[in-house]
Amino acid sequence: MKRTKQLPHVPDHIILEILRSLPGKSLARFKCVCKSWHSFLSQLKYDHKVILCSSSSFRSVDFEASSRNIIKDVRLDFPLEVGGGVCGYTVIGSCNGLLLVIYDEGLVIWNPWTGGHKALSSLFDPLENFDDFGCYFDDRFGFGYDHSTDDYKIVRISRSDDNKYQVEIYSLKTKSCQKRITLPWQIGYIKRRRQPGNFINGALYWPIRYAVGFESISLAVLRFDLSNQEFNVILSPKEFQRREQLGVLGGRLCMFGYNRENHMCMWAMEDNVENQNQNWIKLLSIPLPPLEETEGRFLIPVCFMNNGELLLTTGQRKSYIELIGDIQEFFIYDAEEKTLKEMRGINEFFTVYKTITYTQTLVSPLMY
Amino acid sequence: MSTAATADASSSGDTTEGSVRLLTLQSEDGEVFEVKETIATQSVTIKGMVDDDCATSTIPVCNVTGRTLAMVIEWWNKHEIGAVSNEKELKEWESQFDTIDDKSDRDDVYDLLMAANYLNIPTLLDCCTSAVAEAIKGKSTDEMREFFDIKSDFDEKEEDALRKENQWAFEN
Repeated sequence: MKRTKQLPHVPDHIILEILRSLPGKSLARFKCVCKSWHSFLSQLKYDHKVILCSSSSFRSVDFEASSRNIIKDVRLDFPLEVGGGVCGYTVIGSCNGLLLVIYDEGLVIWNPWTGGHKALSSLFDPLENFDDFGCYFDDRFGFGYDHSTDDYKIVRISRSDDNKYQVEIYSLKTKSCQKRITLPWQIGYIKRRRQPGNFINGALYWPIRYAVGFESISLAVLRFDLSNQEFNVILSPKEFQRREQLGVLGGRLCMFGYNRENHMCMWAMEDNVENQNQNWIKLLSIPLPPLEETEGRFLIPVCFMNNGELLLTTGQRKSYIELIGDIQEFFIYDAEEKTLKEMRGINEFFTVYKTITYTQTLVSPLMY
Repeated sequence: MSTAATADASSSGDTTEGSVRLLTLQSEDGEVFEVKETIATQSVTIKGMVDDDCATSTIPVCNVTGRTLAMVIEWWNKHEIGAVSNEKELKEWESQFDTIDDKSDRDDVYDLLMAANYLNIPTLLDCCTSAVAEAIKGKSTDEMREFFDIKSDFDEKEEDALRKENQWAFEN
């Protein structure tokens, strides 16, 4: 016998529990159900996830839910048709759950969790500055959020004819270039596009070489404040000898690389101290011999796990073109035993060439 | 030990389950169930009563019908440690909750959800919430309002703006 009773009232905490397990696309739609759902869903935050990119696809990995033998990953469908360009697509920024992706037709802002996206073909001519292979070979990018104007900004740094760096700052809201700056000559080599600017606390950071006086060149960090649109330079810790990189780990800007003893060491920049060079604190150093097999392999920290352990991956020095090579291994560093525990399970046919950390949000690129 | 030999002759009487205590549960509509304590304590609520020594007489399970309580007990039996030999079998059995095809299915899952909430049975609650999530993930906003009996408090303009912002989520 079919019952035709009225549904009982479902308690809020159960509704929230149900919503929590829905995919992003459904949640983006259900924001329109009523005001209380809208406010709950807009504030919903998840643990950070890691996106692995190959030149033709993306996978999102939940390392927290993974065990040592099974890495849990899902394929992310890129929303746009990608043509036959040599480079496929490259992520050149990650901020508030949105990725800035460059592909052969131009730029797109993509929320990989909800699938929301916005092509930015009108922002600047994608063909300008492409090299013979269809890549933005020489440009550096940054993608960040400006709280003061509730706007996303794209920073593009390119080399001008007189060998200085030209910077253009684009606003997503006004869809135009807001400012052009030429960086002073002291700012030398800025790393290439596979390492986009790191966004944290309203500013973007790139690793650079900085000329102190006329004789010595120092490792440094270029900082761009998105609200006042000013650049400044922060000198790096002196310890690094090679393979230095920047990353955002545990909510702080970190610099990591190898020192004279061949240990991978990691320093964090202290909050709100932006001048001079006393603002770095050493977080850890991994006293391990260089990785075996191929000489060029080295460790790259990815993120801190909820329990405080460090997740690392490996890079390999390939040709002169890119610093980071194919990444296929993931390790958890056991600080007590000073050993690396390998995590297995990523599809072996999936050649990872880049890892990006992001947080799942329901931010819609179409709002800007 | 010689307990087995002495027990043999005299004790064929009241507790067939050996030393396992039986609890008596009574549903909202008066149906009475006898359940092993070890099984019923999968409910955090009942476990609390047992721990506090409040489970000596019939336990009234208000808000839960006999029909639903029988389903809950079936769940408990399947999830008792050692009752199902392997994880795969359990997953297969659980998968019957994964699809909510018609209205009576929906009512069942709804009833189970409320019972799992009232009796505080975390595993059952998880299973039901993901079954509901699976059933609603493709629904439109209007269908969601109907499903959860929610009235929209957006005015037309607000809703239009929101839809525009999340436009891709409404496609196909």
